[in-house]
Amino acid sequence: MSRRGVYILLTVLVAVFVYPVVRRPPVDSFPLSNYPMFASRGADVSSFPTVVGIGADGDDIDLTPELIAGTDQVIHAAETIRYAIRNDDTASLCGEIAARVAESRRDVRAIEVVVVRYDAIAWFEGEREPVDRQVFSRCEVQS
Amino acid sequence: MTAATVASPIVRAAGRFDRWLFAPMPARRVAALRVLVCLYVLGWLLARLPYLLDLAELPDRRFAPVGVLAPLDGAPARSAVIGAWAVAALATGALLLGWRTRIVGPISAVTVLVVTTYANSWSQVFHTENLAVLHLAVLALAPCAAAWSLDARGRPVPDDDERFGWPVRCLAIVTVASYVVAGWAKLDIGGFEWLSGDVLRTQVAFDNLRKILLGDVHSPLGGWFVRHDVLFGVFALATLVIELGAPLALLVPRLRTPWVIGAWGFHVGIVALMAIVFPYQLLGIAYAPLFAVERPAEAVLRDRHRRSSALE
Repeated sequence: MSRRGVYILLTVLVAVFVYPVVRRPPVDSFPLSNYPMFASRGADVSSFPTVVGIGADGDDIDLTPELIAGTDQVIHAAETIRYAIRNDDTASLCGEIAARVAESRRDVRAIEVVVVRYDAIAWFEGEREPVDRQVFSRCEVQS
Repeated sequence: MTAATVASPIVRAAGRFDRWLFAPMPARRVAALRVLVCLYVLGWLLARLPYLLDLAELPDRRFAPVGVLAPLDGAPARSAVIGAWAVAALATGALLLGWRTRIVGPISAVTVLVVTTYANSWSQVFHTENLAVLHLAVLALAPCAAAWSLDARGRPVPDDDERFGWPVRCLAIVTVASYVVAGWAKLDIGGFEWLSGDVLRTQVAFDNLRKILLGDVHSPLGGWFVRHDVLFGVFALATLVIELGAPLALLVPRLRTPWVIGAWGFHVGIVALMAIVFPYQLLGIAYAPLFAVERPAEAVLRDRHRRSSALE
């Protein structure tokens, strides 16, 4: 590659890093990103979208990211639920998860798509009761 | 003061940068970096195939394309995903071996970009493979097979040359730039308040609780530190020093190793506090362009040659 070619490549590489930062709003895409990980403070009380299984006796049963989102990525699972809530599509998500659960969990009778709100720091200090709990969808697991 | 007087420091700096960028380097250094990056990418492709196949089973409505896939209206067919993966794996394997690199290099870079973009197009952008993808793109355009490759077999190793220097420098610039941008984002988004450690403590608490509620692996150590918050100010300061100070690793040779140790330690800390793994960094490959990575292999080969000569 010629020297001019190298400088063109270098200019492109610099642009790859500078563009996501200077654009408003900043770009968090792939592979161009402003790498905003761990940058935002967030609220003292945060919303945690999750999906819980309901047992025969009405108790909550924890589900895994694989059952919730169909993959092993927990952030993907959380964003999948959040996306469904934003798009008023929690019923479809509930049904999809119920179908997966039916194949592997005999102890789960129903699924609830919920958002629970916690003060995350207080949770680790012992305050385990949610500030709020909102159920968006409930569906039965076909046995 | 004349224009020439103003311009001359700039011209001198440009000249120093040019000499630095094109400093002659060994062909084996670029080759070693080719091997390391390709080994990582190939390992990623093999390890993440089950995940990619899981994604291909998801409903189309959950596809949220980003980057080069943004123009797509719907998720690609499973066969297309498998096809792209196969081409990426084959091309990267060929690049690893240094076979027909002028052809397979760009094919590997493009298909790996497509596959990794696909993995990031389901409502969540991860940040763990950006550096590997960018490094692969640089290597695809570089003379990375002049040594330790099938393309170069039977030919003598070229002398140190500037054509092997600029790829190494560009790879190093990419590594350093990623840290600077991440540090800038923290100040841009969080302001100088980020230095107090409060943002970091909230993030650690939030991330770990989210993992607990979703039934995933979390960090008990992170929970302990959240309860004892005195060190988060130190963690925050150390984070910004490492990220914004990354250019020093390029500009001040004696700071290179301490910076790499600090950056690697930063990622170890992320694992410890948040159970988040950046494998490209933790394996050290992200920092390889800053070092003479060919030397351990050369030493092994020299030793083997000495032993076989002694037996003759």
